[in-house]
Amino acid sequence: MAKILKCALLVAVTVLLSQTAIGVDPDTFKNLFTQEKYSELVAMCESSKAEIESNQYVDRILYYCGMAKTKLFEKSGNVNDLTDALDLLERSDHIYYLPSTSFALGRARLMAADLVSDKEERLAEEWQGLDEMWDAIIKRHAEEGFRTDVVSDTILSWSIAYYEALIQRVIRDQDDPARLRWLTARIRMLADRYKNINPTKGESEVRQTNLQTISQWMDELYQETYFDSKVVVGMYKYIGDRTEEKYDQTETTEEQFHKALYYYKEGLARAKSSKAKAVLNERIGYLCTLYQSGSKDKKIEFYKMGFYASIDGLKQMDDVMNILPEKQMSFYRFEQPNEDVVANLQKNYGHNLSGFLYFLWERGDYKSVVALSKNAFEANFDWKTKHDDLLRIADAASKLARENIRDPLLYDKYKEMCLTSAFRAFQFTLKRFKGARPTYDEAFCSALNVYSAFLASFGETIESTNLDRLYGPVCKEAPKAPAPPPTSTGSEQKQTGSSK
Amino acid sequence: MANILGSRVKTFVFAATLFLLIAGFALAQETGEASTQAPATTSELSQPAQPVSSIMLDKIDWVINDMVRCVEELRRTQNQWDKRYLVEQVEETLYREVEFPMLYQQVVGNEKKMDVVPIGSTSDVTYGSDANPLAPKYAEAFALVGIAKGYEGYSAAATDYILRARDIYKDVLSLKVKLDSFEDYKTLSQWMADSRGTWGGTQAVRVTFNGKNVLQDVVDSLNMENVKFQANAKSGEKIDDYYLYVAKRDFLKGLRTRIATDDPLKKDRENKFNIYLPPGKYKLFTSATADYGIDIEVQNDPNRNQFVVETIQNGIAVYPLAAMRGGEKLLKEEKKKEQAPEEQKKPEEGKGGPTGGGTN
Repeated sequence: MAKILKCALLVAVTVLLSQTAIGVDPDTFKNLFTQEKYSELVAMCESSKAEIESNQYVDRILYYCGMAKTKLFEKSGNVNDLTDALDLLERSDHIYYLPSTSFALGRARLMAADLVSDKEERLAEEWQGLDEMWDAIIKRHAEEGFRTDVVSDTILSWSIAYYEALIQRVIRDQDDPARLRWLTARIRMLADRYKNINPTKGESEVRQTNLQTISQWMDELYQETYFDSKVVVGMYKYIGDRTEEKYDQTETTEEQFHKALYYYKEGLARAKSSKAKAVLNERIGYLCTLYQSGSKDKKIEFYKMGFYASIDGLKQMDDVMNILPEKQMSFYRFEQPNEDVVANLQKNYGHNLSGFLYFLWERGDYKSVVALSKNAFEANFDWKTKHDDLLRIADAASKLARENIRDPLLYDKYKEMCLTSAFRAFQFTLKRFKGARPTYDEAFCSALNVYSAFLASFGETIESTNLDRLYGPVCKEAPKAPAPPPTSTGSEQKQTGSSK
Repeated sequence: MANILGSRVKTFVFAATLFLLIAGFALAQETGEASTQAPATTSELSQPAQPVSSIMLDKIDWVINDMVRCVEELRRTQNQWDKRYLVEQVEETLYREVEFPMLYQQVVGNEKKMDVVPIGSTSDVTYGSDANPLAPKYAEAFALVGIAKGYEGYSAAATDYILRARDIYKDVLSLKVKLDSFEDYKTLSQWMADSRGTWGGTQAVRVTFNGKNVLQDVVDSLNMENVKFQANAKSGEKIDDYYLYVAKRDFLKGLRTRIATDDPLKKDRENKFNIYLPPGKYKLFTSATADYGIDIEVQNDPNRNQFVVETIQNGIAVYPLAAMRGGEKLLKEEKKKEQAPEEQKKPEEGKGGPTGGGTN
């Protein structure tokens, strides 16, 4: 009894003395960190070293000090900050292991590895950094009971940071097959853990959406490791997709557009199978349809790029589908169905061609517009604004014919092109009635009126009159004005959903 | 100032409360108030071992999944060097997530309350029970390393791992596993046969190193730069660089994980490790200065490839185990020496073996 009382007294006195000696409060460090006052926090860490060392929460305080130093390094690039950060985080980790410290230490180590020029040394540092991050993730996964329905925000953000680190290394070490295989296995390990998250138990709608998104990202991450049977190509595509999602068609996010385009092109340059090339061309084509800018030259540049990527993609899909059925086999695992890829490519083809034609036409570059007639004529598929595009080509050809009225050869050439294009536009709208008697339809009547007007203007009055007699009554209520130039330039595609 | 005073007052109140609580507990103990807790402790002890928690089962399942991902990639390459990181990853995962915790929990945390109850018998673990649901899973993890080693081309190492797996769970080879996302589940036995396809021409045999007074700081001073295995040029045999590289990695890893003296678990496990090398004569450099080569000979019979590693000044001496030098009689003497008290062994320390001199 007496012994226990003595012991209790000793404990109480020890607590009293130790608390008296402590002059720092861990919450102060935490608050400064959450308020992003990193310099202030670092100054406090440096001025209260002795108090920190004697504090019972020394590991947590060192963690915040290390994190603040890491943030300062990210801002300034001062290597000394990073060295200090590593030292502080290592000490924190040694004093008391916490997944958050391990993860932070791993990230800091990767930053340090980026500064190492010797490859072997860099790889060793990276290996350790990635191990620390992974260790934190698996321990946190265990702490959360390996559940698939309740996943913390921490694990979501760690997973993203970790796969970004892995993908960065895949891209950097793409010429090192041994390293790539190890990284591939690591990517799949991560994806396996979080690709089957059940979002229905998310606490709010926002969280359910977040869980759904991360689950989808992880599933895609897993699948893309098999893309083109070449992880590098798959990761270029994957990171391209994630970057494209960040582009919201405003100038503030334009950098994301260019980055995504870069990733897709790099992937395309390394792809070996026709199918993978077609898929990447589809991605480029889709991305280009999204481009928005005040600069018409830039718009022309990217619509053109998207259009030619779509042409290439369709040719590659021809190669894929022309293989004899008995020899047909998948090029790689988790291939998109051929029909879907072709449909998306055709959609992108039309969208980009439409935008490309519009801005060329608006610039008055009629020769370039007419030069695209072959592509518009030869496409054996339809798209939403096809008749508008054909009418625009007809209009450009008509203008060129009038400019060359003194040159019979050119005049005839452009006249023929104008009438052919207008006729195709008319046919395109007529086809929508599938052989039935046409009824009033704005697109149909517009095509009829323009075609009829062009016929008349080039002296083909009989044909024009016949057309009017045949279909005119249907379009009685239609406005007689020439076809308004289509305004669709591709901007609506993202709003109506991805072509993926 | 007021804040500081306030803080001190709070601290004082906290300390006083703590004192009162402990004092109260002491009084309660004396007056028998707390005696109701005693039966609870007794009943805890009398309860059968707790069933393995689902968390533990999930954990080992994820560990196995991680290992499978490495083996999956191993299967997709023919280039031996490309397999190295993956094999090391599989071995490391086994050690870190299965072998070490298994040993740690059984030795350090040898209490009934632990989540993990004894789960089998490996060279590290001296008791076991197939009834534990963790046994097949732990065995599967060991078998996966065996299969990984098989795909790497080391049949002897593969066999050793499979034998360890069978020690833990005897029906391990009938367990079904999917080692490739695009192949069906097959028994470990079938995967073994598949991995055996890459074993052709492999001649590496087991070489065992037994630790003897190896100091931690010496182990710490050794690295991939100053440890070398070289094929002995005089013997005229051409040994693939890959074997030498793997032997070096495994030698260092073995020293660090099996022999290192700072490890609190050292006394509870066998103080030895294996590497695998084709039969032949080698020179082994094991000093920080890397200027002294020790001759060792690897023979076809793995039982004869028993060596001792021992600290000599700034390096490590390697020499054949006594039995390998002079037969059974010497082996018995060696065992006797090992069983002898530490004081009797001390005079022998630092002498080195017949083939392993000191380092400068």
